[in-house]
Amino acid sequence: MQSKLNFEKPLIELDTQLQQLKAFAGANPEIDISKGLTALEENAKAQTRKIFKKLTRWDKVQLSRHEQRPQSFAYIDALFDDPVELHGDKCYGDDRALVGGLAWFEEQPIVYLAQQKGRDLKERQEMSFGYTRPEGYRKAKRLMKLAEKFDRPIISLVDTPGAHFDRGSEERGQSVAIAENLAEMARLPVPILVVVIGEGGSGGALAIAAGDRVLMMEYAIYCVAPPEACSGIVWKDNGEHAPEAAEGYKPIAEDLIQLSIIDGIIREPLGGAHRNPVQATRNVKKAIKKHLADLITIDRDTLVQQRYDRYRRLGVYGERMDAV
Amino acid sequence: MAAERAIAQIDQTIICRGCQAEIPLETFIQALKVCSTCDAHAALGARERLDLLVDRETFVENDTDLYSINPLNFPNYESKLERDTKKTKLPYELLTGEGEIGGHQVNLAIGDVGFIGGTMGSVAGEKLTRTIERATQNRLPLITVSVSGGMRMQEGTLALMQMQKTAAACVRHSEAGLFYISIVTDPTYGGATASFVSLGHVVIAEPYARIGFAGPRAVAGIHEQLPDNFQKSEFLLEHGMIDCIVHRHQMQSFLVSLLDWVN
Repeated sequence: MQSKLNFEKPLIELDTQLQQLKAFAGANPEIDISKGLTALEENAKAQTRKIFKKLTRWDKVQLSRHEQRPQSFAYIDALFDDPVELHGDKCYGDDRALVGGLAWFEEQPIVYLAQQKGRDLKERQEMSFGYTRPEGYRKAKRLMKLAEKFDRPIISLVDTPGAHFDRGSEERGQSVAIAENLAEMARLPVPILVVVIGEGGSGGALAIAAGDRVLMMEYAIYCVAPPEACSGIVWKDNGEHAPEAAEGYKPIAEDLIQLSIIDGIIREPLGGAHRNPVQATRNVKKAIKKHLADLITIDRDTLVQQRYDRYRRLGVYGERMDAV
Repeated sequence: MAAERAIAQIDQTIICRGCQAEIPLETFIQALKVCSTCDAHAALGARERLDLLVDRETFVENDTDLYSINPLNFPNYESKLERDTKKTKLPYELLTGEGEIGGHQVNLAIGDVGFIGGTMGSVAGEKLTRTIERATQNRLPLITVSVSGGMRMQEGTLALMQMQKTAAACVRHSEAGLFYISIVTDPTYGGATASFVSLGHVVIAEPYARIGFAGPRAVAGIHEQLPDNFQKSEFLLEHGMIDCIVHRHQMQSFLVSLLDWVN
């Protein structure tokens, strides 16, 4: 059973036709259908391009949350050599929605941080559907300090609907945990490279995303709150205006690069990362390689100053220049 | 005792919704908008708060020329800005400047809940950052009085970025060896709580103030059993997330004693 979004349905139908045609060809080797097959494949590609050109911001929100979208598991596998996961915040628990550890990227020892939502129901429950708890952020902070101690760059993969909002998270200081990570990243003298691979949900994402370079996958989002929550706050409803919220607050990669909130967009395979995860991870690897090579050449004081300036500039407002 | 903050006003009489007490307006204002019966602390505007904390005629306001625009073309944002500018008589959500508290020179930032729910957008982020940077430059203590509905939805991810911008400025202020007192008032939620608010060296809350990360709407969605004082000052104190709770009537003298201690 393949889950699909509404705008994906014609593509899934074309896929099915292709599969049937291929099966037919396999069963009837004496009939040459290669021409028909090529035509159908070309048609599928053209259709996909056409549909994806017209995607709304709300469609892209759906893509960023697609059930089959590759999660950080796929990227950790494809990007890093010999990853060693380190568990726990050494204080209360081990949050499965935010993992991290030591690994090698190409020849470079790095610290990785990665949010994950889970691929099946069991994992999703274990990972609270990607909602990160204070223990996750405190583990991240511990790993950031480890990166500092051994002068290793941090690669952070962001994918969360937001920080957890249950009773326990409030009791154990969700706000303090996030605030302390922001403070940590403001002073950390090692490169921090961030890739938003799916959902970059509010402070829950920012708590591991205030890096030197922030890259976004083409169909990822990065927002102040989920569109449903924005709808609730602005329209005082139960999320019915989420599509308008998504149009209104501009959470997609193309919006955010114009506002200088992100530094690069990583293109996804035709039809989205879930249609070709191997290609998606390859594109991410290439982008990380390029930016990491840049970052490690910058001396540490300059790096921290540039990071300060990067966030210092963000904001759009009016300023009256009244004549004195 | 969990008092409601909401009050109603009929002519010259205030009705406290927490305890139904009827209080003459003049008495209520003299008591700094604290209910004389149940001790509920009603909301103060930024100017009222300023008068309460800062030595008379020492305050110099900064950055009055910044105002919010609609950078993302979010529907109906301009009309809300216009409405709340009229209502609060402030063109922004945060009053900033320099003044003296018990003779101590400090930099101050005071929020106003009347302005788009006290949410934080680019203007509040910029004004707060400038205030913190000035405090760092002039080697002065920083005092923030927060009241916040979180980050401003209408400014999207730009608003979110103000968390990092202000947090980073706090770090520099702190690394310069300077003192930051964060006062939290009712209500303070979301990105404000999860950034500069929680980075104070001393975090003080007013009694019964609602303080949290997740908004009440989100929390209600989980259907968990919650204690009566959930996300109130008393709950945060119990769980070790704030340093102390100080009554509004004692706030000014409490600040003076802290400032005396560091200077």
